[in-house]
Amino acid sequence: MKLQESHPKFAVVGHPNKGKSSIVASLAMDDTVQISNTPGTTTKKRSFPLVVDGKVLYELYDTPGFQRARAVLAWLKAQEKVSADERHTVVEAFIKAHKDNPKFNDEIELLTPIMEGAGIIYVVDASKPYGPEYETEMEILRWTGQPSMALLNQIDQSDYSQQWKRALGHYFKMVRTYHPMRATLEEHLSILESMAQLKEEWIAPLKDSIVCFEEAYDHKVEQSSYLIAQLIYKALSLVEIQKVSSSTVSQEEKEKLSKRYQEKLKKLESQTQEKIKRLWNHAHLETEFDKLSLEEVDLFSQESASIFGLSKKELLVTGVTSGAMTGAGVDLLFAGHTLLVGGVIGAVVGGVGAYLGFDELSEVKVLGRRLGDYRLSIGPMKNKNFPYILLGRSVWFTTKVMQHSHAKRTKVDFSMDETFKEQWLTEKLQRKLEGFHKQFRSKKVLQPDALEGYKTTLYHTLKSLVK
Amino acid sequence: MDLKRYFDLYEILESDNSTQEERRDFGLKHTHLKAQPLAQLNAWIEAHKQRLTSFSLGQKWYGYMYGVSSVLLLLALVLGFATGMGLLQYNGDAPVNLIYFLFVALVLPLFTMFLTLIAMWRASYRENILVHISPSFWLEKIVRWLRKYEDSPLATTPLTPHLLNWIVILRSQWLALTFSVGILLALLVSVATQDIAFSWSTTLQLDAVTFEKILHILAMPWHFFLEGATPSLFLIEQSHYFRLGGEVSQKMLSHREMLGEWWKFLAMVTLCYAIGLRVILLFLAKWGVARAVAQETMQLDGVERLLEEMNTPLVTTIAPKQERDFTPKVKEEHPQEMSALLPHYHSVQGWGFSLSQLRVMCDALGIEHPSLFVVGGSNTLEEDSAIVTQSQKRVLLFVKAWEPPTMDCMDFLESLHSNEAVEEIVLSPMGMAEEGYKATQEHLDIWERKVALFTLPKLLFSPLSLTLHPKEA
Repeated sequence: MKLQESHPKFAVVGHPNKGKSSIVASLAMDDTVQISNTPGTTTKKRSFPLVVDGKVLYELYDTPGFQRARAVLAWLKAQEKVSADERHTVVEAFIKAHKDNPKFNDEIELLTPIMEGAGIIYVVDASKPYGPEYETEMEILRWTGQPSMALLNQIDQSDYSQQWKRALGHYFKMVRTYHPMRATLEEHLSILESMAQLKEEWIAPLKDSIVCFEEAYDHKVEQSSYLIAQLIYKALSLVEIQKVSSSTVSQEEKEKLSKRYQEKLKKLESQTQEKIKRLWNHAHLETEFDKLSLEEVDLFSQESASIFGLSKKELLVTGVTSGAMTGAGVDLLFAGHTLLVGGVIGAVVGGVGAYLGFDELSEVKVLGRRLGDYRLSIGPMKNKNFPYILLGRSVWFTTKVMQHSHAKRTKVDFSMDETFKEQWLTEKLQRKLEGFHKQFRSKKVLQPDALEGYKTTLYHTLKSLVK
Repeated sequence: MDLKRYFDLYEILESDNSTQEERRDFGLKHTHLKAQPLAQLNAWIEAHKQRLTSFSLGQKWYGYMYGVSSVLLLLALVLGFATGMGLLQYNGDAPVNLIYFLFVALVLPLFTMFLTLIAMWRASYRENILVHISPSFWLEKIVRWLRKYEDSPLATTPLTPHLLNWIVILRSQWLALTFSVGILLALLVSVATQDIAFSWSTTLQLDAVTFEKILHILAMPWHFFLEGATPSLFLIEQSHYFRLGGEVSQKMLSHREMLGEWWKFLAMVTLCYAIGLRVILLFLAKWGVARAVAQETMQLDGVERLLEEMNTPLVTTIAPKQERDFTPKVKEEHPQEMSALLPHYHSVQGWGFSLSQLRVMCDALGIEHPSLFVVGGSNTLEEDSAIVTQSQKRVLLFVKAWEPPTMDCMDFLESLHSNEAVEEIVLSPMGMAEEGYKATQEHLDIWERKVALFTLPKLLFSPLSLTLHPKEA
């Protein structure tokens, strides 16, 4: 898909280390943005377009912070005096004159998208006091003549927002507060609405973007529900089979199979968690989450033998049929004069023989191959509590990922809240889910609408939890 | 969507590495198929079939099915023919009891058709006993075992129990149909090669009139266009046979040329019930397989995601290009020299502070200030340059620890350092007044790392933690 140009652009600019990249990471939902408390982490402008099927609805630029703002302003002021409506040409002249000057690398990087038509989002840290050094930066931005707004980012606990609002009010027509570390979707969309107000022709594409974000969010909740539904279905219907040497199964063989079964369940869960992280653009998110414990869950193992790959039950039926066939053959030899008694006798003999001689028959060798084998199996999971344990963990994990800010870079502890079960599992919901769990465990082939119904139930649960 | 396509899709998805963008692109090019997921999947298979190996899983499976089915069908035909020949065995001593034939060509097929319908109804159950009694099920198990199919890729086909049930049901219909064709062939061959005298004989209290009524009901489907294939009451009466005495009655013998007429009725019974109805069931089973294939295709691993990605607008917000890894530069070999704050400096300068803030700070720290200068902030570069020129001997420079060191500040520091009249510069990052001017270690580290990047031998770093606070002392 080829990208289309001509769309609203916004450059997120400001003093170094005031959370520009955090705001961009949060607005762009991108966890690959480098965020660090070391100033100068961003050295090049970086574009974050919102692309829908190849069409760019808007584009955000993360930029380096001002490094030599006074020198830039001094240069601008030193040029031939121009009227206010021509000041942007001086800024353009500055970029042209210094584009290869490493001294002004950061200023060139941040001013270039602005002079190419990007709206300005000036970011300040409202948890630190206002200082006069910011005025130089704001003055330069005023010289660009581009529409602008200021965002108050509260990095720490202290609050100097009133001080900042008074100062910023002189330079920006709009001052908004945005906390990238804990912003909800509503707050995110509200900032987009403010950005739309900067220029009349940006209203339509940004309104489209808001709709697109809402739909994409809904779609992700739906996808997460589907992934969880699949996990529960796969976990409940999982059957692990192991061939064993004889009809007497050792404790070691049972433990080995049980361990393998548990490992598979854990793997299913961790794979789902990874998919959910990727779905929500949190592929790089490092989490601490208690491993699924199956120590208190009863695992049911069953020993069985098979001949030609047929189970005892299958062979009983087959025995009856083949016996009947043999009997029918006898009838044929006698031109049917036995009134098919041969068939009936054959069926009884074949069936009983297959049932009683099952274990012995499995030991018989034909052409060097043993007819049958012994198997030990675990599953499907019969424990009634297990799906709720797994589901509770998955719902908890998903809500945490959904609410996690893309601006956070530290390892996150997702340890489960003891009271979480009360928050989501009502008696009514449990009754509804139990119906699905029965289907998942049953020997009936799962109907597509069962998984769909389970997904829909989970979708509403997730939506209500993150409301 | 047929079984071959089902296998192809499974194989394509197994090795699929298409991106979400490519899938959406495909979806946009086939928007007319959006409401028809199976047609969309078919188009996807078509577009990606070059990725299938020359001997794909579908081909292998079909090859295997063809092999096994051919053997089983041949067996069924031979068995059907042998059964027919057995039933029609005639040596001229006693007539052939057509009740036997009707049992095999009518009752048995109707009974198995009834079982088939139940099997179809329960086809969605993983363990379907009616499927398990089908010869095609267990004969195939034996063939698999003999040919060691457990070890072949076919042992891990994506066939679900639901689909397998329908496949077994379909193949059973083929077997039953072939068996019935065998019987019909046997009847035709027997009739053509020998003179068979048919009779009917039963222990049940069945008189010729009742029997005629039953046979007329059976003959209804062809009675109006093939009257000769419906036995008359006279023929039925003449054909009634009793074994007691071991001899054929004179009545029968006198109408012996009539007794062979039964073959038309028997052929039509076989054709209409054993074959005709079976063909209908065969088509029903075909429909069932097609429906199961369609259902199971939608359940294949990766299909839901593929369709989702084809049909949902692709929304990306992330940067298309990866950012270069940032590693802060630190000169490990030149750790910054530290100094505690002293009570006297020739000049005290504050980067970005106001004059009153500077005064309060000096008072709080007990520092004498013969001359105080505001630098940076809203000063012009010229104003700062004038302050640099005036500076001499020991200069204390306060900076806001919470504000990161900009190059503007470092330029000033370098120009102050280059002033020969300045003997020593003490750089002290200060915290906020509310915090007693104590900077956090994190902020101090940022400043220390920054100044360490410059070669400034006259510069001393003085965090407040090293300072003996005179007022507290």
